[in-house]
Amino acid sequence: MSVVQVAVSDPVPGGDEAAAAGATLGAGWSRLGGTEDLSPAALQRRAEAIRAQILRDGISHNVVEPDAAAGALSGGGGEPLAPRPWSLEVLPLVIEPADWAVLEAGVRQRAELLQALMGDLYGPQQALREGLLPPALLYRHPAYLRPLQGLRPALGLWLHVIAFDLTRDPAGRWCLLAQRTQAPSGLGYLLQNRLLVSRQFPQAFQALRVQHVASSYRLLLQSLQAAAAAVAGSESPRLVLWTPGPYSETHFEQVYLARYLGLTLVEGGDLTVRDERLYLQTLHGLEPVHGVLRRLDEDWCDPLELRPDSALGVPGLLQVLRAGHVAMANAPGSGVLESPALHGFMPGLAQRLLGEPLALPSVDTWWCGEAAAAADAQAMAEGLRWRRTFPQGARTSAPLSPAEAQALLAQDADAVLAQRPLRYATVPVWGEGRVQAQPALLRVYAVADARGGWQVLPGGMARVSRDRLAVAGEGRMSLHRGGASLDTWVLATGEPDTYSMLRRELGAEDVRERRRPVSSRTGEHLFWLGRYTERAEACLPLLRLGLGLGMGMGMAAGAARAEPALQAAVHSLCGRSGLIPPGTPSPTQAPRVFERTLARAAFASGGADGVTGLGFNLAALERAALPLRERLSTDHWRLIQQLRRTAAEQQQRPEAPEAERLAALDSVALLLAAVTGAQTDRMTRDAGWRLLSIGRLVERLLNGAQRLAVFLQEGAHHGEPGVDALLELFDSTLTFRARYQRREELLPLADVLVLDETNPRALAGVLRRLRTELGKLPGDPALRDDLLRRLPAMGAGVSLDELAADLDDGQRAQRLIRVAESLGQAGWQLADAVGRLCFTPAHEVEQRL
Amino acid sequence: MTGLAANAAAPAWLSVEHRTHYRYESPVAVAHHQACLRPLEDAHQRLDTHVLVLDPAPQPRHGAAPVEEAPDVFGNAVQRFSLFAPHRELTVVARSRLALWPRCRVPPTTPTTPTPRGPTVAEVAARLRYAKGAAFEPATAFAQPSPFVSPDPLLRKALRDWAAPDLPPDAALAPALLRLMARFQASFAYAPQSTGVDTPLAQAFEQRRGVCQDFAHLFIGMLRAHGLAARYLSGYLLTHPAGDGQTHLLGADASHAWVQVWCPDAPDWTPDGWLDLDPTNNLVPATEHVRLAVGRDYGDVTPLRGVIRGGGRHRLSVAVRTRVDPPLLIASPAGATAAGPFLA
Repeated sequence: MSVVQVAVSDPVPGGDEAAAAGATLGAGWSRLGGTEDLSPAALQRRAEAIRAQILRDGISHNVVEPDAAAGALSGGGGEPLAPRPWSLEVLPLVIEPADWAVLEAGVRQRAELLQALMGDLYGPQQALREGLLPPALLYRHPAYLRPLQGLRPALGLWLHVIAFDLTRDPAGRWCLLAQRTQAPSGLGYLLQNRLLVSRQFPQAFQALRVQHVASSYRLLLQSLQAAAAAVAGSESPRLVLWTPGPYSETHFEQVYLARYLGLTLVEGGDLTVRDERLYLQTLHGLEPVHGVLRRLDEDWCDPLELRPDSALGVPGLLQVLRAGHVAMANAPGSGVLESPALHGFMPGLAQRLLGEPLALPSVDTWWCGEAAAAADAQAMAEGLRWRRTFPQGARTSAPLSPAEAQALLAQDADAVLAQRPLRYATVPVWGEGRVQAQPALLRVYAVADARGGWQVLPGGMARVSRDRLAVAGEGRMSLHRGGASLDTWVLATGEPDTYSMLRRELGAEDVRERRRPVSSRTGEHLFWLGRYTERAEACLPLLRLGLGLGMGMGMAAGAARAEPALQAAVHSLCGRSGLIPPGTPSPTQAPRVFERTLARAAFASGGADGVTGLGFNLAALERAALPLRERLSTDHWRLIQQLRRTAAEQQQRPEAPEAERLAALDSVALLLAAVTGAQTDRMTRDAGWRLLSIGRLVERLLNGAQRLAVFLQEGAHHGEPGVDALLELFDSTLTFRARYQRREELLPLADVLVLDETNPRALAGVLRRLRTELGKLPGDPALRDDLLRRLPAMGAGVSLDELAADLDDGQRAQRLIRVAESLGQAGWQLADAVGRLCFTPAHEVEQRL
Repeated sequence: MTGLAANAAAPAWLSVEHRTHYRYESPVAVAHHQACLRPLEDAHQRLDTHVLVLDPAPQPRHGAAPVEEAPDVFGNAVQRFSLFAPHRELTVVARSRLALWPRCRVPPTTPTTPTPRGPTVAEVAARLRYAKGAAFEPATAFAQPSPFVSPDPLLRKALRDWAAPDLPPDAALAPALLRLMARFQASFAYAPQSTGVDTPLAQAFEQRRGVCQDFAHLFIGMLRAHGLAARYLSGYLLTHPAGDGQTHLLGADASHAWVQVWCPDAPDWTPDGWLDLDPTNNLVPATEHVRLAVGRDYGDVTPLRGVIRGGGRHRLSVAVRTRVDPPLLIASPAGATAAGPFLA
């Protein structure tokens, strides 16, 4: 390999001042050059490869506006902004062994200290009694959860994982800026970064003996397992990863981490509390849960005792914790440790709680509630940055302007703190054809073992700011503001630990564990995914028929004009399916008006004027699919988004000509066929899939029964155009023509559309499959039988003999109408009953009294 | 032993029935509730009997208790129960019978009693401020802003300024508090229904009217803005039978709320450092106030809360009856043993 010298240009912009502050986080990146081609062209190629891979894998984070986030979190329907592709630099941050050793020792001690402090604050409160910590910093902090005072977490583990944000001071010493103790994010992205970057520098990764990170994840899992086993009193506790849901900023990594660690991904609605114990609501009944890796912020956890407006929490959860029936990583209430005001008190606390001096310094901080500190800060006010002591909304410690700070100091000095600004150290970053120094922040993670010790994950996530003048404590280091992340390589002195969770051979126990029961909420989403997919598909032939009525284009073509009965049937069906607003004139009365209205409403996303057509169903389909992303293949998900985009484009053009509408319908039809294929052939056939199928089949039954009844009632089945139209609506033209060519009598029509169990679109065919799938649902057989009883025991509830014998066509039609109507009723009842049986009470609205 | 001394006198006997009824539009599938309905117990308030009646009754599994009871961080008895059978109504009745002794031994306003000097406003506030190595006062927990008594700087300043004339730093705290309470009651109008649980405190302050809950919060806010510690008491007030000639106190026939202020080193006034003040009625509670629960504000002591699934809209009704209830065997006329309220 050729080694190309790449000059690091202008370490930090800003001349002498920058040079004075020019610490770098890691200097060893050029060591990659020993084994890898570091020419500009090669670096550029790698950067592009990484970007392409991120797009292919859909690695993303959601950018949520603060207000929208609150709405979405509380279930208030806030729409998230589009997911943004993850941003990753090609060059890793390289940290030398000796350098890492200092950092590691300091971080490990910090983690021990925080664990001890947490136990003290929620226990004897010696730190307050001995004046080592101002009581206001605990009592006034919104994350101090009084209901958990005196809690005794399993194995004494309040904290299982802590994230530390670090930089270096101008002298090159590591310096702590912040700690994240309640639900730190980034462990999933860190894995992705490692996979993506190490693949680009395989030789260097080997040659430099980069420490592997998998053992730290195993430790996280093992400790949680040990704590959960202690509360469960068994060796095989059930663990879950609790996500706030698909609108959460880091939902992607939560899904990824759950898969990687082998945990069931759950939302609050999946969990329920009975008799002070936590359960997962599954299609198979309640399954006990003993360990929770929590990614939901603590104040949302239990609407009974904490934030009442939380729709994400589990009522009664805190009582489960107090009763000692669940282990949680991390325990709620740990957010108090995130307060930056703690920094100044940590040296004294380390002496008292650990009996040793604090090794890793933090950024100089003055809490103004202490008169002496406030006076000091005021004396050097010019050089300091002011921040709030206590969180406001989602912000841990918002910055204050000097004027704001002075005003607040006069009223409420406890709420103000000052920090000495610290220029971020820099990392080398590839961009614009050269390597440049960019300010960066390093996040490292400490993971607790089950015996009171800590391990520092040998790696981390560095985040660079595009803002070259970024200063610690100003909140500008954020991926939202266009920053990017770096993989962090910690070099080993000896052989690196090459344990991999991805390559480990699985035992029988793992395999059993991986066939997990399907949560009720997932089942419900799948049921609705099936229903909306079928509804969307069912819209297509009706729309084509309706749009063809007046203009001689659809398959029923010009002849349809002459058939008022057919027009009446189509008009009636369009109205009942919500394809046209109520009061739209029939094609017989006003063909152009009907057609324009239908064309305009086809892709409307619905609601306003009572239109629930194709656009509405496609939007609903996507909404149902969103929380199911972990179960859907990437292709499946892409198809769903493509559908939504097509609908959105058409929606933008309400006055598009019919021809364009029909072309759009064709592409939707193709995409939907692909979605259906993905659903039928490419999903695991567990209980969840059964519900998806049942959803489809129920919807098909309802549509078929309605269409048949309306056609027969209107007499639209007389004559070739009517028969053609009805066959199209049942997607059974080929079957019928092959069997009966151009016959138009009712009996052969009834055979193909109603009686034929081998035709998947015939009512009897739908019912046969429905009975099969219902019979395979898990749970109480008696309840299953109750579902089955709502359907005819065999066929469609009418036999060929009954229809053939002694009836004229009019009587035959009447008989079929009755059959269709009763099947329609059975379908509605069944849909309700499946909902009640499998999902209640999950889908009922939760409210706070 | 203050407690012993208090118990030596004949107590006042009161009975309280607190009835809460929910009627739901559609069945509730699951309900989790948390109640704070068992009165506090100490040397000055003895709980003779207490029952909590629930309809429908919880059906716990595994032999668990239908109602779990445990103390919270403030020492209140918190009662929890869950209902998993569909129901369209819920009735919760708490019945308590209590023996009460006045916490304030020497009425602070009796002209003949020399007012104990006690610590000044500044001295008490100084004990609640953090300084390295200074002694820790547990009362600090009640010197901080809390969810219902917001730290909003504008409101804080307004409350501070309003109270300032009665709280000069060098004034003895206890008498200063009585002056502040008197001016407070004269300035704020008691107006039932004028505010709800969610009315912002600033609004009640602006319009100078509200109910006992607002007054307790405002009074607490004023004291905390001066660096003092004050806490919220929920409870009941004795309903005087019509025409008994006594003053009808505001806030009877419903849950009442008043405050306790940390007033250390004044043993004649308070047995435990917390001086009871009822700003709604401008008096120092004696034996007509039943203390139910204590906290930073209303949010810590909500009598009954719950999270339900289903139910649709609901209608809530609450009724509280308080009456004098002496032991049957002791022939003493109602109210005879009860010390009257000390009107400031």
